[in-house]
Amino acid sequence: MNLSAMKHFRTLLGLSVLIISLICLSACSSDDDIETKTLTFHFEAQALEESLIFEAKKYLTPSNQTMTFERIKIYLSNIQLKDKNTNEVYFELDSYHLISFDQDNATASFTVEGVPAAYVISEIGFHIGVNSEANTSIDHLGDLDPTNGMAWDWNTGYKFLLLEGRYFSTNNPIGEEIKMHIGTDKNYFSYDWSPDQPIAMSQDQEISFIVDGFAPLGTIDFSEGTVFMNDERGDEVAQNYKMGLIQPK
Amino acid sequence: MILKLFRLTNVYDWKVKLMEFHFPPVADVMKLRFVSYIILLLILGSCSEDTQIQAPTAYEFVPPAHFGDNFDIPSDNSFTIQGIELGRNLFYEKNLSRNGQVSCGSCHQQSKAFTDGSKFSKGVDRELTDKSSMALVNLVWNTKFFWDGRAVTLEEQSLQPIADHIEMDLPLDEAVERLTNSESYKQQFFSAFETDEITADLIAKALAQFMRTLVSSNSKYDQFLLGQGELTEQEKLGMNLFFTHPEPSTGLRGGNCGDCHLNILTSGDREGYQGFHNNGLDTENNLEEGLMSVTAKAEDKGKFKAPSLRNIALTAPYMHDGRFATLDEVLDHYNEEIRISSTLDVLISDATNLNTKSDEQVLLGLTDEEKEAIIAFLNTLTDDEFISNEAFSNPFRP
Repeated sequence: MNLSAMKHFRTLLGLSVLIISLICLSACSSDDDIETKTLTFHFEAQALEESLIFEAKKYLTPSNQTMTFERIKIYLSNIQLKDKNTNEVYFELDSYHLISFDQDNATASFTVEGVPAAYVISEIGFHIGVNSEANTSIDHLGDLDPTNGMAWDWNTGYKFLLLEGRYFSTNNPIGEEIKMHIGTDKNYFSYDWSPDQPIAMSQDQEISFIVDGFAPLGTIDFSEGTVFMNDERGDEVAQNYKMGLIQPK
Repeated sequence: MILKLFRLTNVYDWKVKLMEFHFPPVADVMKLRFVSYIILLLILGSCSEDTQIQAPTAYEFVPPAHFGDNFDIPSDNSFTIQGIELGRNLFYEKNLSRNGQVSCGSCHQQSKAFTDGSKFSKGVDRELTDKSSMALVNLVWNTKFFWDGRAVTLEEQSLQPIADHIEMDLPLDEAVERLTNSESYKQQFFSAFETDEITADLIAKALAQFMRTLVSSNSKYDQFLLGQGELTEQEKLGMNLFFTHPEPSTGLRGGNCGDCHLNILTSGDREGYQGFHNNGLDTENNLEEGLMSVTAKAEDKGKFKAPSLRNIALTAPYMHDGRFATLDEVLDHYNEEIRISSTLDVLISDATNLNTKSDEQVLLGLTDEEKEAIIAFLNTLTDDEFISNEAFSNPFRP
């Protein structure tokens, strides 16, 4: 092959590599071009089937004790959306959401992006808490952040549910602080819900849940103590809220 | 000759003159070059004048990745290099005190992690304040300032010691006047804030910018978290105890420190006044007002800010009134000297490593070995780079 022919050969080779690369790239980009929509989750804190009033209102617990609520914080994670037609499941990336309620915030919400528009969602799954791996990592995925008041430390992990308020016994007008700080792997609960009507994602959609502030209380007796953490009483609180904490609105 | 050339205003003239033009001798070429250089220098000179009135240079604040980005920088006081530099000068400026003897840096000394080593800080006339100087560290992650939380921004905080009668005792209008009389400060304020008019508000902004840069993130503990260093077994035991609320029913032993000194920052909760606690220093009758002086709520009596424990080994004495001289005394307090009162933090009154609880006495029940381990961990929070960082040092030191 003479020099000129070699040059032509190289040019052709270069061009074909370029063309093949372009085809590959366009194939990839066509994947990315799948139409997607958003699904926004709304939550309202409630007590006794009404909006929960933080601080200002005293509630009578199932054990007939007087208490106020000051704040509720919950980690929801691992959002999964199942398509009715294909049974395919959409997993949200870095799926960690902190929903917080207090005197100034009776509602909370977050939006899941990138849900395929072709989906008709028949099942929604998520966890209350943070999975073991992320729980002991110092990476900040999603809403995980050790400075948001939900972390014990990088070793012990995050609180999955924080409920704080005050318990007023007969002789104590100031009240005692109630601290429910529930976490650890054994209290990492999954939750599945099938909406009455499947949710067609041909447009951006919203769904609403209530957070039942009474769910963690069960029949606990505050006169025996108002701190609930990594002990039997903490586990009792976790079992109390396991099923009823989050309910469709 | 150049002037002649410049006068050629139309093409005809130019052509005619070009025909008449004789190339000049070498000496003239040199002159031509010389004049050109002068013009170039004049142009460049005018450019450098332009740069002096340029907008302040934005300073990119890069928080340590493991600290998280849960902080706010006020939208009307973003970081600039000139603002930080001015703030540093003001921080160490003794003329911001009535008699020119005291600066912010007098009670907040870098070598002591920005405390002063005294039980109570001394002001202009060497009169004592009623509080121990607070460490200034990682303030950008804080939302309340002073032991009683009376300031909600660093801007608000920064002016109070200047005007305080015991501390620096300089009325703010006089502070403004003194700085306005200084050509150097006038220029610095102009560079930082693009205005000729110095105001108390701008003094506060510059001081706040500087204080927000005081980040300590290279302690032995940080290096351990980032996988760049190891802790000893004793330090690890101390770390685990520090962050654990004890639970005797399951055998979980804890030092109970991390309930208030939260997570990696070891500082108080950022939200509302949740970072304020009554930590059992006094009985009911001796409780100071503390946070109650700000919120007027009875349940806040005797509560003070849980400070960051970063560099704690350098910031003795301890507590808002400097009552404990050593970390050993602090650990003894939390372990066996808690005073019961109506607002005592429930995470303290509830916490014990013992199998029996008493209503009359709060005992944490740590062993001597465990107390020593916690102190060993506290020593890993010292950051030598922080206390020797030139950018935080006194610029007026000879």
